[in-house]
Amino acid sequence: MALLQIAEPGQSAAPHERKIGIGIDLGTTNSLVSVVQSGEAKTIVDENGQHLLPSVVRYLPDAVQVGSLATAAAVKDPQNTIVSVKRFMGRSVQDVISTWNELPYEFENQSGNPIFKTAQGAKNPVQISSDILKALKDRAEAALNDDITGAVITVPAYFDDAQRQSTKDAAQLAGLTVLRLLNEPTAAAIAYGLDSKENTDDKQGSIAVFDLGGGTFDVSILTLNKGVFEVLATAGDTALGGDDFDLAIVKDIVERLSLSEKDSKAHHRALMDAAKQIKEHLSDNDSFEKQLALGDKTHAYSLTKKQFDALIDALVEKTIKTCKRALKDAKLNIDDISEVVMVGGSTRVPLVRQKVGAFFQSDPLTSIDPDKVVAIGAGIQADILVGNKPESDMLLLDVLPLSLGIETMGGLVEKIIPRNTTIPVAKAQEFTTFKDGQTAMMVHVLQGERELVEHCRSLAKFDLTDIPPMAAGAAHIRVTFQVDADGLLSVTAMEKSSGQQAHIEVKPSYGLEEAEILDMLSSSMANAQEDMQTRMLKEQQVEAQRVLEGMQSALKADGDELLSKDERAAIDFSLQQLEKLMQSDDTQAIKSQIEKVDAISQAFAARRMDKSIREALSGQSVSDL
Amino acid sequence: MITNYFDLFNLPEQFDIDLQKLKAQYQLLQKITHPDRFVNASDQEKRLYLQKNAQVNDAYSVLQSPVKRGEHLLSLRAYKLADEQQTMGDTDFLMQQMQLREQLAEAESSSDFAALESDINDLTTHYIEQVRSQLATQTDDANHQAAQTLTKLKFLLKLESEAQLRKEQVLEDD
Repeated sequence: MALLQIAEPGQSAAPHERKIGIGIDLGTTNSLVSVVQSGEAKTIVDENGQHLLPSVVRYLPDAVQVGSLATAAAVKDPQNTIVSVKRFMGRSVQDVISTWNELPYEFENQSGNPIFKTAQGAKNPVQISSDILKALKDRAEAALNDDITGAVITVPAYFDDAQRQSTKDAAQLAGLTVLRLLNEPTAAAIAYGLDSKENTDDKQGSIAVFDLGGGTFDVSILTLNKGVFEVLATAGDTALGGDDFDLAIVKDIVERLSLSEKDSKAHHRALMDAAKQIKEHLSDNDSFEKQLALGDKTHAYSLTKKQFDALIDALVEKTIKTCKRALKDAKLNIDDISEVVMVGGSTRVPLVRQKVGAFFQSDPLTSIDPDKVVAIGAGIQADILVGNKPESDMLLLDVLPLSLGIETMGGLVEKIIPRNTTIPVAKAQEFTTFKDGQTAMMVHVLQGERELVEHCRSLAKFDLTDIPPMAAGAAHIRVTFQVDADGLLSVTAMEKSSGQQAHIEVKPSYGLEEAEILDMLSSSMANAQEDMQTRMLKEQQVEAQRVLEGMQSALKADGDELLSKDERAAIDFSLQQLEKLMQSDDTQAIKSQIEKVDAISQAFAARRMDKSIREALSGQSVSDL
Repeated sequence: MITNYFDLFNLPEQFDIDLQKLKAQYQLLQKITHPDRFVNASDQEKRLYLQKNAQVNDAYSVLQSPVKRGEHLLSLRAYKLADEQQTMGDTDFLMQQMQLREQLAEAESSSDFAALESDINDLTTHYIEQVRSQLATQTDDANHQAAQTLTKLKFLLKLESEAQLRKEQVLEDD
């Protein structure tokens, strides 16, 4: 483990200082932020004592409102008030318009990322999400009176590459370092300490996480073994939630009070609010009886818990069917599930708890507030990742939520990395030219389970250019698809016979280009140009310091054993150069010298890695005997 | 140069491996190489360990699967695996496959599927036994035969997943 600590000294100016990692649940309806203090993860409240921040952003000509202020204005200023922006992340404007046909927004464009027309000009979902993240970051900084080292941000387990990338971009734009994108169900399981529970006895425990929010539902099956946490399967319905329970009550009211279509439409908002109250009332009571005020008339209405259960029975059954599918995908039986975790406000409905408990034959865990449980888990993981719990042995392994593939002849998709593959993962695929002298080709990367290109999500189109001209079929281009621990894809390509790195141009279908993010970053700063330059210089100097100290301690530990004299001299020389340059204000020169050190010491670093792996494995083998 | 996955997991280079040990080594390798361990590390270390961790994941999926493990053994012996276009010469095996496919097309009840699955399982066990002894001998001829058997096992795997898919479709409404 010595390797791990090497990079530390360069980073913290004051080593005694505790690093702060926050957990963020960036939700569709509400968002939360949490932090571990005195060993306990807690959600942080705003100045009014509120934990939940409604995921609503309103743009005024010279101000941005986030949360309940924005919610209050949603009715009178719908066009400038973006509600539940998470739905639009990583989606195209065509998708958005066809999925939600009654949106009050105006869009600036007909293709690509949706761009909302607001009083503050054009805004895309990444910018809007970053305003929510900024509000949470400000809240945390104010409450903790300290800088944030980084954040763990949760995403639904089924989020695809474009949606994850957009989430990460939004964090970057908000000035947050992303420690890890964490799947929501995994976060919920961590909150209940299911990771450490398993360590005490050696039995294999599988966990079902049942997440029923306002408008979305998903269930995930996780498994835990010796501190390794895997998401085995996830299934869900993006158009099923507590709002549907409210709608069922509204339908019942309309039917039983014989309201005209015109009346029910006119009072839809009031009816929905009443239904929500009735639903919440029936969570703790057996019946509801009250006068409903609709416009200038009042109507007597009553509903028993039994009647309510009957109204929502079919909806709850639908969630159980999804649980069955998830279990099947995970190749498990009901008795393999040892714990069921409830997430989302709608799991407070007794019938939901009852049916889920009956299906999994286990009492669902409900002791942590289902609205906060995901944020709490993210906070715990953030605390571990920043290094506050070095003794922690927990490791989270995630899987690719949706298969990655490429377009082949006839508009078909060939899968390259199947879903549920443990990430990080890298897979190489070879392509060849089909014409003499061909110097370029296009690779279309898609994500999804269906066979046709049009049914999968287009992630990116890569142009491979500068292929050396050869006879048809002679060039072998090896394209490597790498997915990192956040589930994000990157692609490299190489022509094998010439060893030439083919040039790749990435055109994300729905994401933002790195340059666009930098643009947005700089335009959001007051003295943009100057600030950016100072900031970039500072960053490079810090990185140089880190590289220098890291290399020096690595050389001290393994230099004599793993390096020849010449190799050692080359590394030493490059480090001396770096030490000199680091004092200058030439950002570019420092950056390129860091790259030089990196290239020259690459083999050394790889040998050190192999050595540490070898040592660890052989240690294990001996103790096994 | 291909990476020797048996070496990476510190396991003997042979078809029969201790699956418990494989799993234990996998968990240990994860703990050493997972990106979560390198949040505060230099870019170089982040990159190197990310690649290594991806390799560990790939190696684990290869070593876990008898067919992929067999193919990996053959490629370590520098045996070039045949292209998929190459035809299968064993007519008995082909006949058997056609029968199984007919059986699949006609399967309607869960007992039909159970019978089919049991047939596929028996055959799979048979061919795994066969490839085990073929791979134990390191001659060109044995390698060639092992490659043939692995191809047969791949046919069976494909059939099995098709049967699974069809079973789900047919028995959906039960």
